[in-house]
Amino acid sequence: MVPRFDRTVCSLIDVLVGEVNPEADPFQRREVAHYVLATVAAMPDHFRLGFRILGMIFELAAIPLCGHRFSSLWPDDQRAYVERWRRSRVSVQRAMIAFYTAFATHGLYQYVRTARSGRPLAT
Amino acid sequence: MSPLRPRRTETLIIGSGPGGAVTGAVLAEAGRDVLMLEEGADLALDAAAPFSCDEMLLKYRNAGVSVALGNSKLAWVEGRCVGGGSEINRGLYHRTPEYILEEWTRRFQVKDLQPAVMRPHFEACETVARVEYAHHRAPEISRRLQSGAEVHGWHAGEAPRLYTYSPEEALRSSAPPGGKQSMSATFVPRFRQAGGQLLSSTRVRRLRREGSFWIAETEQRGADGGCHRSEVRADRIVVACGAVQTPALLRRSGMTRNIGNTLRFHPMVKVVADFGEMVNRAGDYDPVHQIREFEPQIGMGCSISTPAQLGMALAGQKDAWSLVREHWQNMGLYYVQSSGGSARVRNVRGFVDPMVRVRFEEDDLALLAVNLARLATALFAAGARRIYPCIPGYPVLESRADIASLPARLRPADGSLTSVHVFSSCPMGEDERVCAVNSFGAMFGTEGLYINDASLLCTPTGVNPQGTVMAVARRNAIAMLERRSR
Repeated sequence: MVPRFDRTVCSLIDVLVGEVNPEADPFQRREVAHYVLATVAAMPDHFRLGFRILGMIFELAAIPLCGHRFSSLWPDDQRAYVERWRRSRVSVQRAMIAFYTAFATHGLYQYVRTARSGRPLAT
Repeated sequence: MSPLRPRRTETLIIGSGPGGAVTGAVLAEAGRDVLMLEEGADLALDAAAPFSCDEMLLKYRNAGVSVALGNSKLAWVEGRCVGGGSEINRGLYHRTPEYILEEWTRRFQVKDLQPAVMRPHFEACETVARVEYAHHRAPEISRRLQSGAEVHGWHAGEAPRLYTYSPEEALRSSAPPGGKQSMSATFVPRFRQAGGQLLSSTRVRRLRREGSFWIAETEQRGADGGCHRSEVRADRIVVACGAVQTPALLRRSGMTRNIGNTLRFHPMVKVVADFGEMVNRAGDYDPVHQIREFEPQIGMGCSISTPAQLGMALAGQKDAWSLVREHWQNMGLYYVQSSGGSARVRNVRGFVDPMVRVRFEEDDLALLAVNLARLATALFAAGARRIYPCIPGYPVLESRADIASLPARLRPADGSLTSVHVFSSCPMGEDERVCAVNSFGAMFGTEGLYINDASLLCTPTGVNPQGTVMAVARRNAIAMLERRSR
C-alpha cells in the first residue's frame, strides 16, 4: 500500500511533469516521482517534517475547494488546484510548488532522456 | 541499535573533505596513529555521472537540499561522502589572494599567514592534487564570457582546475579524458597508504572529555541498514566536517563560544544566455573562465550548463522544456557571486540536522542586482541574442537596452540566491573576542581539540576556497606535529 504522503507527491509530480513535458510516459513519470521522493526523504529533518505537514494540507485542502482529496481529483482539477497554489498569495504555498517543480524538472531531464536513448541528453 | 566495540586512536579526524584529508595525510605520513571518520559513503569518483540526480542522492548532503532561512532564502550544497565537497565540485582552484591573507592577519590577528609562509603549503598541495589549465580545451560557453569581458576592457581569465587534462587521450577519444583531482583520488589514498584508517558511513553524535582523553560518540550505518553505536577514544580530535556540520557538532557537544555565529557564503544569482548558435556540446570540459574585474566584492563565471542544469534554471519560464530541448546547445549558464550575508548555525532539540538562519543587508542585494546587469552587458557583448535571468518574475532580456528594466536590487522574497561555497563559521586567530580557535586551529579553553576545515577561514575568500582550505589545513597539521599550536 502506498503511503498517503507518497501518493500525494506522486500525483503532484505527475501534474508537474505533464506541464513540462506532456509526452513523458507513465514509467518516466514514476522514475521522476521516485527521485523526488528520495530527495524529500534525504532533506534535513526539520524541512522534511514541514514538507510532510504541508503535503497533508495540500492533499486535504482540496476537499472543501474541489470535493475530493488532491490525489483523488480528476487530472484537469488537479492541474487547476496546483495552479491555484502556484499563484497563491501565501509564500509557503508558492515555495512548495517551486521546490517540486525544480526537482521534477531536474529528474525529468535525466530520466526521460535515459529511457528514450539509453543515456541522458548530455552530461 | 547494537553497540560496536570501542576504538582507541592517537588522533581522530572527523570528516574526509579537503581539510580532513590533507590533515590525515600529513599526520599519517609523519607516522602518527590516525583514524578518520566520514559520515557519508566511500564511493568511487565515477559512482554517478557528475551533477546528475544519482550523484545528488549518493554524494550530496541531504540530496542537495540545504536551505538557510531568514530575511532572504539561500540554498547551498555540500558533499557527504569520502572526499567531501571535492567530490562534487568542479575543482576550480585559486590560491588565497594576498590581500585576503593580509586582512585576516590584521583583523583577526592570525599568526604566520604571510604569503611567503603560505606559498610552500600551496605548492605542496598542488603537487599532490594536480592543478592544470584547460587552455584550448575550454568550452565555447566559457570563452564567450572572456570575450564579453574583453569588449569592456574588464580583467578576465581562465581559472585552473584540480584536474589532469591528458592530450594523448584527447586525440584518441571524443570523450573528456583526464581526471578530477578530488580528495578520494589524491590525499585519501596517500592517507591510507601511510597507514591511516578510514571508517565511512559513521556519524559523530557528540564529543566529550574524559580525563585526558576525548571521546567521540559514533553511529555507524551497517550494510544491513542497521545503526550501530560506539565510541572512539582519542588523545586529539580534529574536527573537519565542513562549515555547517563542524559548528553543529561542537555546539551539540556544549562548545559555543564564537562557534557557528559567522557562517559566510558566496551568494550568487544566475542567468541563461542564448547565443543563437552552437556553443555548448555534449562532452565538453567544464567551463573555467571568470571575470575578475570586480573582485573582491564580486566574481562572475560560467556554470555547468547541461540540459538538466539549464532546465532547472529555466523552470520558471513558459515552455522551458521545448526551449531547452531545442536550444540547449546554444545556451550557457552564468553567475554573479558576492560575499554578502551572514548566518548562524544552530541545533534544534528533537532534530538531527542543524538549522541555518541567514541575514542579508539591503546593500548585499543591491550589489548583486547591479552586477547582474553588468554580467548581462558582457554576455550581450559576447554575442548573446537573449538572456533569461533565473529569478522569478524577471523579464527576458532581448537586447542590451532591456537591461535597464532590471530591478535596482533583488527582492528578499525572490528565493533565487544559491551558493556552492560555505565557510567562516569558526574563525581562526588570536583575537579571542571574535575567534573560535587560535591561529592554528586549536580550540580556546580546551586541550587536544582542533578545527581544520573551511570553518576556519576568517572571511569569504572572494575566489573558490578549496585551495585555501587545503593549504591552511596543511599548515595547521604541520603545526600540530611541531607542537607549535598550543
